[in-house]
Amino acid sequence: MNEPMTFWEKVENLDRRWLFLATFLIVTIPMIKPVRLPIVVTDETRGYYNSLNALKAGDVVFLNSAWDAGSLAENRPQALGTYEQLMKKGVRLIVYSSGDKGPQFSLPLLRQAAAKYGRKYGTDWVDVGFLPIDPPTVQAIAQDFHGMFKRDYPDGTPIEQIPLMQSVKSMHDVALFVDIEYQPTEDWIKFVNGPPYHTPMIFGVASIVSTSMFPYVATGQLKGMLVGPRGAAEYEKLLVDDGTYPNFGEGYRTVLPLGFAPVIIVFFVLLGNLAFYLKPRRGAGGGGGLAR
Amino acid sequence: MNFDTAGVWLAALGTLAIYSFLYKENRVFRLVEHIFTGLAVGYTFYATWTQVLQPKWWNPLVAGPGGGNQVAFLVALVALSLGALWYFQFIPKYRWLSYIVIGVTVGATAGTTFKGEYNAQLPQVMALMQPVISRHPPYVLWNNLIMLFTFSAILSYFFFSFGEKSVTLEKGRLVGRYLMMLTFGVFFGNTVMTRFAVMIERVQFLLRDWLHWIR
Repeated sequence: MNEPMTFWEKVENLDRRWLFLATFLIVTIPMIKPVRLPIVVTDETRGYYNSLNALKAGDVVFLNSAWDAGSLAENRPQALGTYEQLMKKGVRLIVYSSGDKGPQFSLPLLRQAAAKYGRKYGTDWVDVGFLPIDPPTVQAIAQDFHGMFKRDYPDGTPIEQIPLMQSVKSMHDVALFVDIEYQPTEDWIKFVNGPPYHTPMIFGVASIVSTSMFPYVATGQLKGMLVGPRGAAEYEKLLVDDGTYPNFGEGYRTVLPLGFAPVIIVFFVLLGNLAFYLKPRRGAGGGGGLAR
Repeated sequence: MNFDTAGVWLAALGTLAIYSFLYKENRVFRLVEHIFTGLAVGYTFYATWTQVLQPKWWNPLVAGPGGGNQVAFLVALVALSLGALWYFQFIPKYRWLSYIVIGVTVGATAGTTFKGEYNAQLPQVMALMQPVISRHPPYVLWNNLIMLFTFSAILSYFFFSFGEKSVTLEKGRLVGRYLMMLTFGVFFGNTVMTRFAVMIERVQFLLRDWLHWIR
């Protein structure tokens, strides 16, 4: 005859859909009832902001904006701030995407930022669209923009007819390389930050890949990095402080519920472990954790 | 209902259909999953053809040598010829032809990788070879010591060829293993944060753009 389950056995066998519900609730409540969280700006975020802030009007910036639907939460708030800061600085901007869906997501936002600061397409900024990359392609792009980008993305205008591109030929002409996407390839660091171009470089990445990018920040190969929504919220704080943003934006709104989410994970990990050790041992091999 | 509203409703219903899998496997989830996959693959094919292959390869090729750009035509022709060689793998008698393009690819990849790793990793090694004791503030010395200790411990974990009886090396390996596990924990923590961020963005979309419950 089966014995009734004890409390800890019930906990260990809890239907995981309750966990999903608890997770949903804990991230939803801060959205409906927001609380204020202090934002402390980290060195990598400050490096990202300072690299953009140090640019002078007329400097050429090469932006790989390859984020898309899969990384909306992490990259979109980073991109919004970056587009705005770049347009405000009055740099000459070449926008490219190593992801096929990138141009569709970035172009409307770039147009908004350009309109806000009166930046003219073709003279102040250009979107050369999508080109998939591998190491030889990265080297080829760095060496010869005109050889690799034949037409722009919005209108299909030949590159050589675009005023901005007439004086910009290769990565030698670029003052800063910016990459905003889920997982930037390290090939940019190898072939664009490395010799012979030594182009300063900053990345906006998803949290998941930041761990493998931090060594490059430590050595200065990356001048700065935005780490997921947390980096975006810190960046927004700097943009609010310098007057670019009137208020915090999407990054801060995402980081609020994100601050609460790990609580539920830690709680259930502790609860699961407690249940594993405290449940009664039933016969050989069927007991608590230490017996196994 | 205008086009934007219809888009929001489509996206909301698609999101709910995908999340319905969390309750249990169902046909609506499978249907929407296949639609999403088909859309993504179809769009990638379209973007690759219209933005890459057509302007860079197809157009110069069909324009021919008299099309105004003989170099582009020759490059397109060489790309077609080399690319076609891959398919001789399916014909045993002429498989050797595919080895030509495999050799070119392997050689180019090896050379590029060597150069790339040199460019990326040499600054990393150089950064490690700094004086541990310096005139920097005390916390830099502390960081340097942690760095040196971690580097030595983890390196000792990968010494497989000698020193099996060395107690120091054995303890170094143990510490190295724990330090690596700590790093994997950091990786996993960041993974969790990314997954949560994706979920939060979808919940925000549902509550703000679809239901208008939040601003």
